[in-house]
This record gives sequence, C-alpha cells and structure tokens, in this order.
Amino acid sequence: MIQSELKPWSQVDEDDAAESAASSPLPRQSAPTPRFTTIGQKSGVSFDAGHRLSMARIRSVWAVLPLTLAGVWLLVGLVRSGADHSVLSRWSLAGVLVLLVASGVILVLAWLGRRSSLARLREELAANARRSSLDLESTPLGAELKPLWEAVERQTAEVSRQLEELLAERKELGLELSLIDVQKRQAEAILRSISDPVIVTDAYDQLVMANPAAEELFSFRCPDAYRQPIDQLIQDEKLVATIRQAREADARVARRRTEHEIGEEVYALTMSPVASEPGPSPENHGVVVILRDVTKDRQAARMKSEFVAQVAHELRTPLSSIRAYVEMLVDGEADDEKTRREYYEIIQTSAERLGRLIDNMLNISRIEAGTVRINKEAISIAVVAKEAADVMRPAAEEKGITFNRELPPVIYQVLADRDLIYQAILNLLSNAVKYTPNGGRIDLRMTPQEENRTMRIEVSDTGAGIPKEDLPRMFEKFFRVEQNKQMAKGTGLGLNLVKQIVEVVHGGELTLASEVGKGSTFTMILPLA
Amino acid sequence: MSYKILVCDDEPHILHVVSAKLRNNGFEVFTAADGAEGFDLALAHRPNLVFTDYQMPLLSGLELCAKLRSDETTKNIPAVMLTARGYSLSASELANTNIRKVLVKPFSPREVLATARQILEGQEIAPAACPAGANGTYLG
Repeated sequence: MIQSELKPWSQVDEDDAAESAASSPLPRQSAPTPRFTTIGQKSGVSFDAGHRLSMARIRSVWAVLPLTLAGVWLLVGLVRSGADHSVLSRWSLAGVLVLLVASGVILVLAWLGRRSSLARLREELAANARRSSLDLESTPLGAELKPLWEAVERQTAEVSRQLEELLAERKELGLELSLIDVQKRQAEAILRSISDPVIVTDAYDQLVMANPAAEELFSFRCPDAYRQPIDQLIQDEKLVATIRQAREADARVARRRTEHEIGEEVYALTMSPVASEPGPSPENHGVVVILRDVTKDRQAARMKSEFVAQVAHELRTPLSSIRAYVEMLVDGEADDEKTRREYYEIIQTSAERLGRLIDNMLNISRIEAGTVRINKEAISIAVVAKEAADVMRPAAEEKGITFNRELPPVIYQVLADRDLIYQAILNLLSNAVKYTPNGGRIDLRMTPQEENRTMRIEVSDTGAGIPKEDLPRMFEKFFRVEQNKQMAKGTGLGLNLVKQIVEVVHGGELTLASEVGKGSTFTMILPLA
Repeated sequence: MSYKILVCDDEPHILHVVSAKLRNNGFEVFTAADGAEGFDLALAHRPNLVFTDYQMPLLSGLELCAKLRSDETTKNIPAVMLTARGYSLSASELANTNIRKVLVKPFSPREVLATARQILEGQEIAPAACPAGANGTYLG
C-alpha cells in the first residue's frame, strides 16, 4: 500500500525531470555531481544496526506469502470438505487463521518500518539542509530516491545556471541602459546649447525633439509638444510643407538647404533626413531641421552691395568729368584759351575729388582694421579749423549761407593727428552746407574748457534737422536719413568717419543735438595738449 | 530751326560739359540742377529731347521722366538717362517713361551728341540686345 503510494510519486517526478531536461533550451552541460557524503566521515551521525535490520528490510510484499499459503490451505480444505461433505477441520481453520495473522503482522511491521524510514529521511534532510549537504545514501529510502534526487539536482543546477545568466544579462542591460541614458542626456544638452532653433520630426511628421530656441520661435512648450503633429505646432503652412517634402524625399540625399522667411526674419533651413539604415534604398524616419537666422547676414550683404554701388557712383561722378572734359579738349570743343583753362581746372578738381573719396574710404577701413597710421603732435586746433572752414566757404557762399566763425587764440593746442582732425571738421562743415537750405546759417564755434582741459568744437546749422528716431543711428555706417537723402549725395560714411576719428583715434567725444526743420549741432570735445 | 534740348544734372561739371557739347553742335540747350526745376523748364520750353541724370535732389530722373510722360503737353518728349549706377533700370521702371536710351557714366560727350542726333534727326534707333547696364542700351 505504501509502496503503491510511493511509486507513482517518484515516477512522476522522474518523468518531469526528464521532460524538463529534454525541453531545456540550453545545451545540457556535464551532469552535476550529487553531493553525497560517506557515513561517519562528514556527517558525524551514527545509526544503530538493529534499526536498519528490523525496519528497512521488512517489505509489505512479504505478506503475500502467508496470505497465499492461507488461501491455498483454505481452498484445499474446502475442496476436501466438499468431496466428503464434511465441514472444514478445526486444524485447517486454525492454520489459515495463523497465516492470516502472520501476513497482517508483516504488513504492520512493513508499514511501521516505512514510516520510521520516512521520518528518518525527513530528519536527515532537515539536518542536511542545516549542513548544506545531503547524505542520501545513508538511508535505504535515500538510496532508492537517489536517481530522483539526482534529476532534481540537475534540474536545480540548470535553473540556477540560467538564473545566473539572466542576472548577468540584466546587469549588462542595466549598464547599457544607463549608458544610453547618459548619451541621451548628452545629446539633449548639445541640442539645448545650440542657439539656432532645431526641431526633429518622425516618420509621421510629429515632433520628436526641439530645443529652447525652437520653442521660442514657434511658441510651443516641450514636453507637451512631443508627438504632436507639426502642422498643429507650427503655424506656417509653407514651412510644414517644406519639412514634409524633405521627409518624403530620397533618403540618400544627405541634406537639403533652403531659405525661409518667418515674419521679417530670414532663416536658412538645413534639413537632414533621419534614415532607417545605410543601404541602397533606406527609408526616412524623420527629419532634423536647423533654422539659422540669416537676417543680419542678408542685411550686411545688402548694405555692402548698396555701399559698393554708392561708392561706385561717387567714384564715377568725378571720373565722368575727367573723361568728358579731356574728350572735349581732344575734340577741339574748347575754342579759346579761357575755356581750355576752365576745362583743365575742372579736370584737376575732379581728380582731387576722386583722390579724397578714395582717402576717405581707406581711412575708415584702416581705422576699423586698427591699421591707421596715426601721427599725433601738438597742433593749434584753431589753425586746422580755419583751413577746413576756408575750403567750405565757397560752397556755403554759393548757397547764400551765412558762415559764422568763432575761433579761439592759436595758442590752444591739442595732441592730435593733423590730417584726421582736419578731415573730421571738414566732414562736419560739409554736412552742414549740404543739408542747410539756401540762405541759411552755419556756425563754427570753438571754446576752450580750462576746467577740464578740453576744447569744445561746435558746428551748428539751420538745416533740415534729423528726426528724433534717427538720432541714435546717425553715426552708424551707411545710415542716411531717408527724408534728407534727396537734399544731397553721400555715402553715409562721413559721420561714421568723424566719430571714429574723434573717439577711437583721439579719445574725445562726439555728440549730436537736432530738431527737424530747425537744424543740427554737432559737438566735438578733444583733450587739450 | 534748331532743336531744343533740356539737360538735368545736379553735378555742375556734367551739366556744363553736356550742354557745351550740344551747344557747340547747334542745339539750343536749357539746364536744370534738379528734377523739379527740370520739369518746370520742360513745361515752359517744350524741349524736343531731355537728357537727365538718374540720382538728383527733389525729383529723381526716373520720376521726372514719368511726370513728363503723364503730362499732356510733354508726353511725347523722348528722354535719355545718364546714370552712374552700375546696373540697368528695370522694365517696370521704364514702362511709364519715354526713356529711349541709357548712358552709363563715365560717358563720352561724343556719345551724347550722337544719341541726340540719332533721336532728333530721324536716324533709326533699333532696339538692341545689350548687356545689362552697358552703354548703348537702346530702349524702344
């Protein structure tokens, strides 16, 4: 009975172990060695011999023998009694009874023995568990369970091996994940640090990434904007269409560039496809769009070309005169000596003007580049100012302008580059004549400021004046007051040159006060020598 | 009867040389230093031809030509533009004017005279395809 209970249990386990081992995906390595120990050596536990003899050796199957004998006896008795029609003999009944009792005793003993073995095994297992070693062979049942136990051991070893592998794999993945996280944060930091707006879209034209510059430009906020369709985030149909086209385009095209206007700003767009993988026909998974504000570059380029055009115009005017008058002389269009002399003088004046223009431009460029040759010496500022005023007087007279001069005694000297200071005063006077209508008045007033050892040089006019909003821009290169452009030609360089000469070269100060329709006053302050 | 020519330029030397060349060759010349003065003179004298600078105070050469074209009394006066600009004038800028030719500075007085003769004395001026802004660009 116990046998019948035990057998299926052990079979099931063994089958399971075999099945599990067979179905294991991993190749089975060398079978793990069961950890059996020899009695009395490692275990240190002694067992009594009587116990082993009495209990373990009595099997329940032995009960079959007396039981069979009793059955045979009973059958013979019954056959005999049936033949002679007598009842079973008392001896027969007693014998059968003794045999039945004997088989019962065997069964009880076998059961007790088995129970004791199991109890013993449990104790052993518990003890082994405490010692972390098994001593299966030490018990009869243990020996019987050995194959099963070995299978379990193999399975356990296999499972723990797999577990170790998985743990290692998990650790590796964890490391990789943190590495990826670090790389992701690095990439985000790089993206955030770029001052140009950058957006990244996916295969469905949704936003994947954007930096703060892009958030500001398109007025959206990350991370709310992530995975939102770009046509909802960017209120600019043309730009959205351009990005979509870039995604739909051939992924082998490295990048495309175009220009795009947003409001008044001009952006250079660089769109690079995010290709699935390198290969003959990769698919686009999205687009990286970089928007660079090139408004200032464009302005600078436009100003430069305007400047070049203006300079060309300025240079061509005296050149035209020279060429035309020379041709007139060659063609004999000047009949008399007086006319010829007049033509020669015009040619001379024009050539000088051409030279001045070139000097002016070179001066600005040299001051800006820091390569101007400065020859500072103590000069009488009144003398230099008078020279400039004398040059401008004819032009003022031609327009009927009253030219008033208040010059200080010649003893006042400034430490300055004579030519540059002359140029600065001349430019201010020339502007005053240009922008003062006929019959106006120009004042050149110079007052020494003894208290702070400076010379104050003022050029005032009763000219067109400068609108308030243009005042801060008056010393910018190329800047000209739009309303006054018609009054005179100019490069928009004159005042810039004065400013540079006074402040950069001489450490002085140049200021401006003006009122539209009333006139302007330029004040130059130079340190006295 | 001699032809009357109006010359407008804010650059006195240019004004002087162009008018001298034309006068020496038998034309009657009026001169103006800006576009506004030029328009007044054109109304007063009804010249047969106008030579005008492009960049002038008060009224640019282009504005002057457009104004002449739009005025009933001056609408048929042909014009020649003198310009120091390195580029040609656009078709839309020329559309509302009678500008027949653009001379780019530095120009030659001989060229001015030849152009005046061609336009006034009936010599054919065929529209020619010339590089943009180059001298001798004839405009129909």
